[in-house]
Amino acid sequence: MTEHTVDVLIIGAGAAGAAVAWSLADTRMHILCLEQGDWVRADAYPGLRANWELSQAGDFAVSPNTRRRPEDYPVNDSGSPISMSMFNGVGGSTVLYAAHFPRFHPSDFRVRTLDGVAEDWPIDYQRLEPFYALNDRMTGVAGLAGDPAYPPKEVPLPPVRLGKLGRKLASGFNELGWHWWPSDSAIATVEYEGRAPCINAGTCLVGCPQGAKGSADVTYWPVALRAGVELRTRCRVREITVGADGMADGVIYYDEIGVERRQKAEVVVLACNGVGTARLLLNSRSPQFPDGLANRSGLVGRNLMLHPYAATIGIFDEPLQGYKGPVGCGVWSQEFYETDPARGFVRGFTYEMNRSFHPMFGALIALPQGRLPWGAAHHAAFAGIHDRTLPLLAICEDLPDPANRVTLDERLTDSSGIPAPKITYRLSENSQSMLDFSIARATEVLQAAGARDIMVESPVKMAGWHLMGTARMGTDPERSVVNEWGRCHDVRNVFIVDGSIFVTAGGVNPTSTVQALALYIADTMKNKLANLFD
Amino acid sequence: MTLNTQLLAMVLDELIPSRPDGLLPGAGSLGVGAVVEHAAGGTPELGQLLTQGLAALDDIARRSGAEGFGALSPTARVAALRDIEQAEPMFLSTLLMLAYVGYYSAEPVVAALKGNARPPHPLGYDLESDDLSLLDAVRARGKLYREC
Ligand SMILES: Cc1cc2nc3c(=O)[nH]c(=O)nc-3n(C[C@H](O)[C@H](O)[C@H](O)COP(=O)(O)OP(=O)(O)OC[C@H]3O[C@@H](n4cnc5c(N)ncnc54)[C@H](O)[C@@H]3O)c2cc1C
Ligand code: SF4
Repeated sequence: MTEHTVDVLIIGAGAAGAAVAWSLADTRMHILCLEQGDWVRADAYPGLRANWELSQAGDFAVSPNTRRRPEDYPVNDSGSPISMSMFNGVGGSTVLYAAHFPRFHPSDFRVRTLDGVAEDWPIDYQRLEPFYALNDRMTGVAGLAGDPAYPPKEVPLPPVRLGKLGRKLASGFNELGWHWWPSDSAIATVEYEGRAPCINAGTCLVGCPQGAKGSADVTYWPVALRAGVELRTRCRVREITVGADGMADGVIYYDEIGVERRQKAEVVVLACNGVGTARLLLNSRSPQFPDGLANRSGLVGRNLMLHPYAATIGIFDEPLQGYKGPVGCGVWSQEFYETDPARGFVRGFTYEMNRSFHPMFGALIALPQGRLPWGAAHHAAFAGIHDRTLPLLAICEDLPDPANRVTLDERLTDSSGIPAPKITYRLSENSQSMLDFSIARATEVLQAAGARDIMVESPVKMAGWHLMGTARMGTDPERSVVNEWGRCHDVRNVFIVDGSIFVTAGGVNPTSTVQALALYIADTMKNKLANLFD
Repeated sequence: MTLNTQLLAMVLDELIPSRPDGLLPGAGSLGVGAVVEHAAGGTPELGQLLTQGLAALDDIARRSGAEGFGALSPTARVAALRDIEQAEPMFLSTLLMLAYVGYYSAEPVVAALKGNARPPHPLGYDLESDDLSLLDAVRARGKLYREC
């Protein structure tokens, strides 16, 4: 039984947990982070083996249901056309992420005012801007200043190289007169803060043995640990407990050998991602909170947003050398980002260039499309697609819908007996129209770039990469779970810093905003330390 | 439940035969059966689906008077596979998926496609530097975001 009370207990060592831990470290408080997974050692990464792609179907799969490591929890996502992706370990899902690192746009914080949908955020781009900039420096973001799709901003490192593939795509955009730009990427393109530079090996989605990819285990954690933060791995939190005063007083967790323990804390910070945080709150029931902690609004778990993706894949006649380079970083286009009512939907999307599929993934994409038959015609068909694909992904803004939600599964549990999350999610008409529009425009640009044929997957089944909205931010306790600086309305010493607190999803990958928000919340906590619970 | 290893290898060689230039063996000869067996061993429902599918394929062969799938002529093997594809689509699509996973991640296949057998790390690949005057047209259009 641990009786010592820590000042701040952070649950989850992913993108958000790492950033908040690092920022709070300079208070010299006792900060403890409990993480259910472990460190991934650099020599364990599959990219060091020639058959590395096989691990995408095994111990480095993006779905915890396929990966089934002891630290993973299952997710019942059979009720969703998009399956959930995440990684559980130090660095969290950034261990597997593609490191495409766009910020939100100013308009993303004002969707109700501008477009009459969803809700405005209680904060704006200007408020977050210094934290975006700080996060870019901590992470080592590569890109090119001057993108006309954004307000002016510094970019610390030179851009990821386009390669033959990127130049081809850029020529297509230029032909149509559409916006494109070298994407902001959380990738050290030159040596940065002791991290070796990217060598264009292309295995980012199974982790980066080089340490060039800005996953939180190589960016924030080493500095946070040096600054005195305590990180306990293989510790899985079951529930947050509350005292008679209705304030959280600590957690119950299982340690690395499965022994149930209690840890007391003055402040609890949740950073378990848009599925894990809702799951933990819903599992933290008590007489004061019979429907789950901080859930008097009934909104915990609701308004799950995912970013439906459409993949429009150009097939070219010549080899594109598309296996070279960071897989999800190179070129983006925000031609269709801001609302245009003439398109038949509100809000918009970003195009993100993917590098050509590696052999195994390419075969698996072509199979359900009927492009890769078995038997005598097999090898000729494979030769026609191998290193000839240019996938253009549309990251579509998903509007909040209370019916899209995380609940606790009644039967399925993790290996510690904690109920698994169950996902209920359906695509909205707005999302469907946006996906269809994005495919039609992507087809035009890929054809302008010289594609001879097109394959489409929409929505991309495996693309539940971005988990947002399940404990949203707001000033009204009836309509939101946390206030404008991440503190739970119902429990004043519990903070949430991950994508759960997003009010809307934007049409970009979320991690830059997840971490900027975590830094902003930590900064606000530091400024209010004397009266944090008032 | 264990899979019939020999039958599995024969089937895999039909699904992905050797490459016409002779540089790559078929999936069965390459040992992709081990990947399929590993997957089947990890999930009982998958193991059952594959075991029953292979048995059904052998039955199709026997009904045509042969001693089993292995005794069929090359043309008859393809016909039997087409039959099972109709009768048990789930079995064949699952087996195909596993065959593609095993074959296209196998070192000899990757080496033949890339021209060398080295893993991507730690040497990586060179990407030549870019001529960013390609962006002139984009710059000329000016601001795209909404002020608010
Ligand atoms: C394949 C893939 C590609 C992606 N690509 C991009 C991209 O290109 N750009 C981008 O911006 N985003 C991308 N993302 C999303 C990005 O990884 C997430 O936005 C980001 O990691 C979220 O940070 P987080 O801290 O909220 O959660 P996570 O990083 O998921 O971390 C949560 C942590 O909490 C731990 N945890 C959960 N529950 C408990 C518990 N009960 N007890 C203890 N620990 C617990 C987990 O083990 C995990 O380590 C991608 C994600 C995936 C899976
Ligand atoms: S391409 Fe660069 S960032 Fe991606 S895994 Fe290789 S070295 Fe790391």
